[in-house]
Amino acid sequence: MRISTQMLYSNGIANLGNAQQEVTRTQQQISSGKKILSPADDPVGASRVLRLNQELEQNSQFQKNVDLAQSRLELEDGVLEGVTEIYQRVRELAIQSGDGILSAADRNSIAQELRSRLDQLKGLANSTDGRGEYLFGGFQNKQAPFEQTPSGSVEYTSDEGRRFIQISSSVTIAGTDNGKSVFMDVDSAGNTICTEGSKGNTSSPPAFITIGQVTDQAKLDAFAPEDMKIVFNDVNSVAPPGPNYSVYTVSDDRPIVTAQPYTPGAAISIEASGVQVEIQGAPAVGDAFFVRTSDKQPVFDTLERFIDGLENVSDTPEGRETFSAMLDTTIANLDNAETAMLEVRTEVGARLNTVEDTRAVLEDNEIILTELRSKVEDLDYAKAISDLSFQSFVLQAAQQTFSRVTGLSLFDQL
Amino acid sequence: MAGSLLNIGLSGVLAHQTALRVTGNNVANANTEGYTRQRAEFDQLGGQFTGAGYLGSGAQITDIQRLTDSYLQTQVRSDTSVSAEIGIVAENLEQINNLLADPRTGISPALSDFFGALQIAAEDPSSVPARQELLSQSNRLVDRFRLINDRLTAQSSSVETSIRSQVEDVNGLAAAIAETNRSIVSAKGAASGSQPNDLLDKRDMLIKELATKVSINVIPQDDGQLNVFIGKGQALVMGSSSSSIVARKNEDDPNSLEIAIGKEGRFVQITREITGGELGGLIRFREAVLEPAQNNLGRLAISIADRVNDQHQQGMTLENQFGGLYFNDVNSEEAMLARVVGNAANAQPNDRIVSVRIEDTTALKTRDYAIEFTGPGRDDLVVKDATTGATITRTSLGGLYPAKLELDGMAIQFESGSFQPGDRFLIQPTRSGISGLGLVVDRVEDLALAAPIRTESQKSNTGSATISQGSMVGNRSLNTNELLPGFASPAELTPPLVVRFLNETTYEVLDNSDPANPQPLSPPLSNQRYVPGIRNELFSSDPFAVQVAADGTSIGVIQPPQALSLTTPPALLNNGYGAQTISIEGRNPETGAITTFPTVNVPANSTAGNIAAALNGTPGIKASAFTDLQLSNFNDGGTPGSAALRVTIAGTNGQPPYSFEASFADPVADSPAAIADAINADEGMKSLGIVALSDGTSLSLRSTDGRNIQVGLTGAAADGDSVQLTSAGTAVPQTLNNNEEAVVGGQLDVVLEDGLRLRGSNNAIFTPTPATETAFRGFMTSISGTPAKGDAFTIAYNSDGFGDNRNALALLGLEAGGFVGPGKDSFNGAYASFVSSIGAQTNEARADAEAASSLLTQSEGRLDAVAGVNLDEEAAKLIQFQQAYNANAQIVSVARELFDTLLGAVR
Repeated sequence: MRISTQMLYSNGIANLGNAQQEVTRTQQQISSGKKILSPADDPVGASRVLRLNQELEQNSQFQKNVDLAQSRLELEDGVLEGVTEIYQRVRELAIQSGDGILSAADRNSIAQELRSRLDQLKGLANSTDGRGEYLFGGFQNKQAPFEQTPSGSVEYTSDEGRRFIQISSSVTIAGTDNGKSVFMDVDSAGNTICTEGSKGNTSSPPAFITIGQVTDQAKLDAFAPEDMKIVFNDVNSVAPPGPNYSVYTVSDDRPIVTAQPYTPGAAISIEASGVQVEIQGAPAVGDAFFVRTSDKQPVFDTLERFIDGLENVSDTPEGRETFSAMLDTTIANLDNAETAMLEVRTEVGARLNTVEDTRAVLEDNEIILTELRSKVEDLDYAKAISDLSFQSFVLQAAQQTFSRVTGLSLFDQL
Repeated sequence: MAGSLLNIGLSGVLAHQTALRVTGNNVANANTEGYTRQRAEFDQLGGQFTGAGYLGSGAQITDIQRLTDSYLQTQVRSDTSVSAEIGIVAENLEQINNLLADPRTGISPALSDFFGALQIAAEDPSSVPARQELLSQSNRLVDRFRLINDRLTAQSSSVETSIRSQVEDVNGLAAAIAETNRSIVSAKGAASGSQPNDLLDKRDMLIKELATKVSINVIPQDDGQLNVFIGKGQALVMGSSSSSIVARKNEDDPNSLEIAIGKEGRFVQITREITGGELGGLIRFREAVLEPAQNNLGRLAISIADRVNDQHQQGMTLENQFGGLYFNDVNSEEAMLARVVGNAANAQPNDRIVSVRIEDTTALKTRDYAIEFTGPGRDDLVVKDATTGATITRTSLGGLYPAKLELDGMAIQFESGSFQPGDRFLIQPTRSGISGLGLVVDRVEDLALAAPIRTESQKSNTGSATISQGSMVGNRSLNTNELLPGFASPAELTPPLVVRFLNETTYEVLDNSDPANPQPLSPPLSNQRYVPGIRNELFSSDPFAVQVAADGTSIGVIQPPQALSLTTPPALLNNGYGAQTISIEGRNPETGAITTFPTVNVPANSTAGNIAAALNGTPGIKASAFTDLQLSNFNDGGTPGSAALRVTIAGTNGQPPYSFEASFADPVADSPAAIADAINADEGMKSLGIVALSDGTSLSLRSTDGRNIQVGLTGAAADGDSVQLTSAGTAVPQTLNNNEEAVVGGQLDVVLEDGLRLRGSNNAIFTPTPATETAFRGFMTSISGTPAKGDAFTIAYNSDGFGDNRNALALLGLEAGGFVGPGKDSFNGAYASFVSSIGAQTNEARADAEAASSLLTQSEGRLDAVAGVNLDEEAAKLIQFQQAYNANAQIVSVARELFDTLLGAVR
């Protein structure tokens, strides 16, 4: 075929350009360490890299969550350990106060210590996590969950919220425990009561109900599981008009006590169920207070009823009998509290184990994902360098032959 | 003789002089672009007859031939067009490809960072720094989309600019070709038919240049002029006159340029017919790459905004409010209108309002749609794919506006206006997706990471049942888009609810506004069945579920008392319920297709429990039955006797009926409360699901599974005892005396899934059009375990629950969910597929460009082999012609010598 001189040059230049392009590309790959310089180089690989990057990013976030979950759980475990120690000390005190030769002064000093233990316990229950959040605060964890009511009892004012943390794509663990499940839901030795003012009460300052005492266990057992509510009626419901209340069952509004005159500050005894409570303050008409039978007793109530018993024991044979019955109940309740605490701590321990296991899985994942990404994206240096030297050789050869071929001209011979 | 030899020599000298000049010209133009090598054509001069025969009289140059090949020229032109088209597509694609290759500009890392920040916030939802970080990462995500959008928009406008300048170039070239045509004709005329080689070269150059702009078809005329056609035979150059093309605003889409060809104001649109060349490449790039890329990313942006907004609005902020919009509302009035462009040529007045609402991002496609009102009816229309023109659907709007057309996850809403045949609209559901993306939340307090409801178990619960934390399904009615009644007042659940267990298998849900005195809801949720051991879902998750109560005339009517029968086993009375056929219809919410389910035939005197069981055989129906009978005005006649209240209930599965007698002899010891306790304590009654309640003066008997409740008073009529009976269907109390017996049937509550309707054949059980109420509360929770009688669970607004991260977890759940397009890709997956498709397109364009350019090189090579100058060849020719010239000069010299010799001889 005829070849025009122009073509000779332009073909040669084009070939040189191509060879140069190859060399530059390989050089770029080598300097960046990446096989894929843009999605067009390997469309499937590029999208895999994007997905792997996302997974790696997620994996590292899970690793952070694992660290956070672990420190939080360890903190909780530490607090619970302190709580267990208090339980044990209170149990010792309970056994000590069973000693018949204790004087009133001895009992008072035990009561004194118990009060400070109760405060300490409350303090632990209101522990914060160092970021101003209450450990056992449920969802409303910006305010202290355990509050002392004016009557002295400790109430849980937060909710049953439990926050979950995602620590891997398939594992979500509870990062917190709410105070109700840890301190309030403790099995009691027998049926007992828990009291509560209705959230709809209108008196201001709010009237409140004491934690109350069970005066006749047999009657309460027969009454359970029915609950009661004490409702304050219009003053004209009694003659002469004055403050008065009625007591109803909660499930079907069956009256137990109707329009009973109320002396402020005096104890309200509900004969039918063997329960005695006090309403303090000035309840408004329509205010309701619940006295619920329960087979659970908050550990604070256990301590408080114990203190109450210590301070109010009468030195009569019946008094001593009541006192020793109270002691038995207290010890049984403390045992339950310890068991409950053990359960919570076991659960925390189990979660810590899960966290540990997950950490190992995440670390493995990271290695596997990084390797996968590297396989798709990273350059095989040995191959790249051998490619480069070959391509440079081709370029050099092209340059040399170009000058040779174009150097030939018949005009030189004229 | 000598004279003619001289002439021969002279003709040879002259001819070779010309040949040398042609060769010289070839050498001189060795590097001139578009130059075609020329060759001097030698011919012998005519012979003269002599005695010796015909004797040649020398040589002459007859023509200077231009050495080319029109077939190869055509080949080069078409290869030029192809290569230029693919080249410009590849060049533009590389820009997008490089944009996506840069990890600093990609969407993917920004998405990962956004969800990473959300993870941190979920771990500590009330932390302000964590929320701040989430806000700034959200901003970054929006910025990334904006950045890419800016680059795509910039590219789009540079494509438009290029199209305009290409159009100008084409017109300039067309005019120049026409002009050259004219010059060639006149030059040929002046040179009596000789070809003006330089002009021919110039014209071929112009035509080749034109071929880089657009694909052309060249047809020669007899007089040597060339006609040039583009598209499907539109003449651009005819002889010495040319048409022009213009780039003008598209009537369908004013944002896009179209190409038209014509002369003197009469133009025809030929955008789709333009192929090849840079102009064709730019149009193809715009249509096949740029617009789909904008649509693709737009759909991703819409999906993200839609899902995140939806979930965020169901959360609770640090100010106890529902979350607001997180990103711009994808269905704001402005966004919905921006998706539709009315054709500029639509008949006046320009009053049509059409908008597009995005309904389901998982059905959303990235294509554009063209709607044409085709007639003959005023509102007959056809929907086409705007790019391919393929018909998607034909429909008629039915004449009433507003009208709605649901298609591919969107609702095209024809709001108002004088729609008429000839109207055209362009629908671009996803085009404005990225530009519409913007962050709306701007305060850390406004981030809704908590869920707005919380559940609690009552402190004194004795059973082992637990309630789940609850989850939001949606806080707005999908029918009206208004807040559901439960969430209509800010920062509270109206009413708060309490779930109370009547026994371990029955619960009721009550209004807990006053915890001291919970009230039934309207419609009531009483006598709900609870199955211990499994998870019992409390509320419907179906936003369109409705509740229907049996409202027939038979329901709950106490039958007139009969004489008491004391047979063993006890005789059962009929509840008097009329026979009925219940027909059930389902309307598929997506397709609108009506399904008719088998009818439920209710024989006369069926119990509510049996009717419920029959209804439950139809999928999508959840029927529950219960019976409620009130006994009041317990009147002890005063006459001594041993009366008893006798309650008779049918047995289960063919077991004989069971009767229980509670003493009614002593008005004090046998108070209604005592009777209730006695009934509740009876194992037989308990096993049949009978619950008695008493507030001390009245007695309420309930069957939790809708059995008939039959009550009688024993004792002689003379005892004078009586009790009054009331029930749902009997407002006026029915008096029951000694030795009498009466029965009442149960009531039915039915929850119907979306689209199901139920009607009675008469008025006995269900009326033909029973009233419906929504059963959707917007949230769900479940209770599992074994509850005890009296156990209660409350559901309230999650006030101050700032430690709650449930909504943050729900938002995080969006990362893995498949929400983008019919492929149900995850956000990141959709982006990865997009990157991969651009990568593949670029890759393909690179390969095509290489192939096209090598084809072009080959065909150019072949043409060059004919038309190009080879200097060696020319050098050889120089030698050849020079020698011939020398030889001819010698002939002249010989002729002179001959003449001299002759003169010498004479001298």
